[in-house]
Parts: sequence; structure tokens; C-alpha cells
Amino acid sequence: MTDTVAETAWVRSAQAGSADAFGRLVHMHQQSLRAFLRRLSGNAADADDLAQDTFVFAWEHIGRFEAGRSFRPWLFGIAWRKQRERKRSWLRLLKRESAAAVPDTGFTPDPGLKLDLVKAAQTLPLEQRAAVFLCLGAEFTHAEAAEALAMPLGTVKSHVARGREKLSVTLGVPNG
Amino acid sequence: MDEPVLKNAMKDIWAVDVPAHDGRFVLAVLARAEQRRFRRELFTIIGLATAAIVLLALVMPAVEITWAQLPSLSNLAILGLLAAITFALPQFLPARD
Repeated sequence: MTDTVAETAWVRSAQAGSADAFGRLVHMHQQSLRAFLRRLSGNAADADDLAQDTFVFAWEHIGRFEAGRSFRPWLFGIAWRKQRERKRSWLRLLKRESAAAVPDTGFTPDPGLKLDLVKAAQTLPLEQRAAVFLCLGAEFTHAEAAEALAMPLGTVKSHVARGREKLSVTLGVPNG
Repeated sequence: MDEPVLKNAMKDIWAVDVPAHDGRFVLAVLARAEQRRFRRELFTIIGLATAAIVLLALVMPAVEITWAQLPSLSNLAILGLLAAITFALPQFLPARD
């Protein structure tokens, strides 16, 4: 059974109330969803907490998901909305306390280009970073990323192109 | 930097710090979902119980008067009917996974 066929079957079972099938969906998507949220928030513990919230929300609202569509953009769409909500509440908190936070990247990738790439990506605006990570890192199509980020297709393409350009400039590599 | 090079580098760093198989994470998600369901059901039961208590307190004087006027056989029949409903009701509720 291919991943897509299995995923469709698990979604249907989860919609019928099977916690076991939903557990399989969590197992299937946890790595890329946690990675996405870690890259956006820069904090591993917060990102994992948000990933758990995302899965719980998806489980409680899986009845609303239209079977036959791709599950991944729907799931990442929930994560994206939750991440933005949380960021807004953090911003309010930060403003109140007037405290500057130093983001904890939470991991140590290989040195050289990859390390520079992580740092360079952190300088991108949030929407651009999300589009770049989804399309270049998680191998989403532009259409899937547009669905997940609730943005028009053209905006996603433009975010990816501009993000790639900025990364090339920041890293001092000619854009091909 | 051309797209394939950037894409490859991005794919390499994408999920380097997250394990592909993480049973503890899956269990934590399911446990959190179960806790939320339990809390929701608990609040529903508390709400329903409170509503029932208030309703009973309101109608009790009228019930007591009617009850006193009925013959004892009718009282027993009502008690039996209430007991039957209490035991039969859970059979009609949907089964959970």
C-alpha cells in the first residue's frame, strides 16, 4: 500500500472515530510538521508543544476534512494558523514586559553552508520563511503551500522566489 | 545559488533534529487528546447535573403534593419506570472507541 492510499484509508478510519488510525497519521506527519514549526519558531520545546496542539485540533475537527483531498496541506494549515496566533500573543506579552528575547534555535546542524543557511533563513519575514521551508524543505508543491498558508498561489511563488534571492544575497552566492 | 543546490541544502537541514519515528510523541498527542475529551465530558456532566438539581428544586414542591395524593401502587409503578429508564438509557448512547 502506497503512502497516499494508506493515508486516505487512515483518514477515513479516523473520521469514523478510530484513534489507532489517527495515531498512524500522527506518526506519518510528525517529523515534517515538527520540523516546520521548529524552523518557524526557533524553539524546539515550544514548536513540539504547538505540534501536539495542532494534532489534537486536527483529531477533534477531522470530521470537517473533505476525504479525498490531500491531508498534509490541511494539517499544516492548522499549524500555521496556530503558530501565528501564538506569535501574536507572545508579541503582546513581550510588549508588556518590554523584554528582548534571544531565539533558541534548538539544534546544531552541519557547519558551513548548512549552518549559514539556517541563520540566513531566520532573517526572512515569517510568511517568506514558511513558504521557502514548505516548498524547498518539505517538498510541498506551490499549490499545496498556498492551501496550507491560506495565500494566493502567486503570492507563494513570489515569496519563494524572493526568499531564495535573499538567501543567495545573504550567503553571498550568485543566484542561478 | 541555483534552486537545486538550495533545495538539497534545505532538505538536508529540514528535519535533521526531529526523529522519523517517535512513539513517545505519538503517545503524548493521543494522551493530550484524551485528557481534553475527558475534561470536556466532565464539564458537560457537571453542567447537566447542575441543571437537573436546579430543575428538581423548582418542581419538587409540586411533585411532592402530587406524590402524596397518588395511591402507593402508582408510586411503586413510577419508581419502577424511573429505574428502568436509568438502566436502559446508557444502552442507547453511542459506543466510544
